[in-house]
Amino acid sequence: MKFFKVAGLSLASAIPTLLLATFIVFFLQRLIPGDPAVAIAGDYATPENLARIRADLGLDQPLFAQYLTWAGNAFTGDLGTSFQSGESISALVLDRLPITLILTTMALLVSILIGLPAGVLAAQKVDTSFDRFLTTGATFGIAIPNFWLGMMLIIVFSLGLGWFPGPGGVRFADDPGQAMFGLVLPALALGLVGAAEICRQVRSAMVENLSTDYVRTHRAKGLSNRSIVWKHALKNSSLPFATIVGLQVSRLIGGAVVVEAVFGLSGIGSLAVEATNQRDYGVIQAVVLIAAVLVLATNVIVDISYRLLDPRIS
Amino acid sequence: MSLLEVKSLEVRFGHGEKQVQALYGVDLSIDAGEIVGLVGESGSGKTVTSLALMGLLDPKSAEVGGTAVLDGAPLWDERGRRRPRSKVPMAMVFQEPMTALDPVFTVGSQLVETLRVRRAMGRRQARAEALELLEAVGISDPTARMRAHPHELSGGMRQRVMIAIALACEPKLLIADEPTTAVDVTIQAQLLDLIRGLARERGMAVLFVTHDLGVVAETCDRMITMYAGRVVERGPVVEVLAEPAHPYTAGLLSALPAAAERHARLATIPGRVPPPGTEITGCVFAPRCSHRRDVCDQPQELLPHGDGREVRCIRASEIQFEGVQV
Ligand SMILES: Nc1ncnc2c1ncn2[C@@H]1O[C@H](COP(=O)(O)OP(=O)(O)O)[C@@H](O)[C@H]1O
Ligand code: SF4
Ligand SMILES: [Mg+2]
Repeated sequence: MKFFKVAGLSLASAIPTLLLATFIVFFLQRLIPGDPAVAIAGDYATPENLARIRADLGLDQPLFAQYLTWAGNAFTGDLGTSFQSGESISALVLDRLPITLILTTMALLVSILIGLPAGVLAAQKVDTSFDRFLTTGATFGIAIPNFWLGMMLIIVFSLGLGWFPGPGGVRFADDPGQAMFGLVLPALALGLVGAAEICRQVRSAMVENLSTDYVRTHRAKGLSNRSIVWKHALKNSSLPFATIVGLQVSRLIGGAVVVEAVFGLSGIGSLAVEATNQRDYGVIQAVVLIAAVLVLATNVIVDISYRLLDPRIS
Repeated sequence: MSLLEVKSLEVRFGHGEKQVQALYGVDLSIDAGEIVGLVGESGSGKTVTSLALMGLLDPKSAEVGGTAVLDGAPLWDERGRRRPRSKVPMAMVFQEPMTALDPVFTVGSQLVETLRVRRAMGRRQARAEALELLEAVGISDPTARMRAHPHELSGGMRQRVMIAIALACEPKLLIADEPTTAVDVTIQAQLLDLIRGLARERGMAVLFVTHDLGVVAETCDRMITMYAGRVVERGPVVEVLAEPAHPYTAGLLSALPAAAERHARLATIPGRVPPPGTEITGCVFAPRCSHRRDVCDQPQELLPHGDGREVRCIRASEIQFEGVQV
């Protein structure tokens, strides 16, 4: 019951942001120099030709009318057709989306499964050499660029040791198991920086919580250290944890573009790169819109977990 | 033998050059069922004494010396290794009701988990017992309160919950560190009644820490005055308050509203408690004492002063202080 109320609230508060996002996506697009009609018809098209193409695409309508048509269609899942290939953009996106979603999910798992325990352990051993080792590692980790880490991983683990397939990747539809395996290195390249970031945030939240009065009460009543750390202090650290995970998701969606390029994966990031090269505005718009929706969805989830995790937020 | 026997308890904070001593050979004994007041101004070392006994000082920064035996078993051995806290029949109620409870867990779950750890109860049994404990500390509608989070309760209620959690440990000794300092006067009176009642009912001894002699007068059987990490006076409450022997106890007493009425003003002792690390050779209270003489420049010992009383002041038998009848 509480969950539905909380979820409803969070969703409702996301709607204005979503509208704003569609606005920005649409109008920014129009600010980019270059005429899509020219891009389609070629540099030597006649004026009549160009006019016809503009009419077909609705480009001769007032801007705001164009926005309404576009947003309305997008809402029903119709993202228009690609200027370049004439294919449905929705189909294009749906074809590319799964690999990106799986990649970012795996990367997020890498970030959490490494970052969370590392942060908790560092906090427990605060100011020991173990803690300093982890925090220094995390500081370096945060500074490593995705693409560089990706190339290093390829050089060491696929070209050198041959443990993983090289760039290119297997299509998901062909062999899901093999495709997932091929995503391990990209997920590491994408997720390790997040692991470092999560480790740092979790550590500082845990250090703070472990020195509070209520932890002293738990000790006084005889709770085990394990229960104090992993149950009480950890749950009390869940707000900063949810915040940093939310930020990581936005970062992962951006980073996916780079990592997909390095590993030759045909996800939504590489779709965006191709579309940009070809001035395929509709596709770029669709990709940006999807990214915005994903980030917003993450924020909604983070918001819901805030409200569920901390009874003081109503 | 008393329930609690503490001999020359010492606490030092910090390391090497920067190490400072906070407690100097504190001796304490409490009989079963007895309520003993530990009094002194802020900074006297009352909380440090409590935390040292509970084993709640951070071993990385605090060094604890001396011995403490509770109910026949030492709290720590010669090498400083403590008996697991869950096995020691001792519990503590803290001063700050606003922060001492875990904000993200319900009152019920904090009580239930205590019972499960301390008394090895199953979930269902622990729940039933938790309800009884909440009732015992005077919380109405305990079933609803079980589901409440600490922030939904008033300060007084939270302190009652803290007491319930302490009772869940079935303590033979309860350490209550200024449990009523942070609540208003009416609530304070209720909490004092509650603690006194529970102690009598359950035969539980209480070390009642407070800076308020009025509270001691109402609640305690015996009292110990602490100053600068040392015991400076001890004895039965009625006698000490009727005729304080140490100028410091007398000073605290003259700050009581009852005494102040007679003198038409609230007396305070000038100056403040020297912090740990202060170099002191003679009487520790000398810098603030209006009865100081040359004899006071030698170190003072805790010496017998009549029946069942002790005082750390060489001039105690020369000076007469006005007390209050309680
Ligand atoms: N962890 C600590 N490190 C250093 N000094 C401390 C520590 N805890 C308490 N002290 C000092 O010890 C003295 C006694 O403090 P405390 O026992 O809290 O006094 P009170 O009688 O008010 O409870 C104070 O001067 C305080 O600053
Ligand atoms: S020994 Fe002297 S200075 Fe110390 S309390 Fe007694 S009279 Fe005062
Ligand atoms: Mg104190």
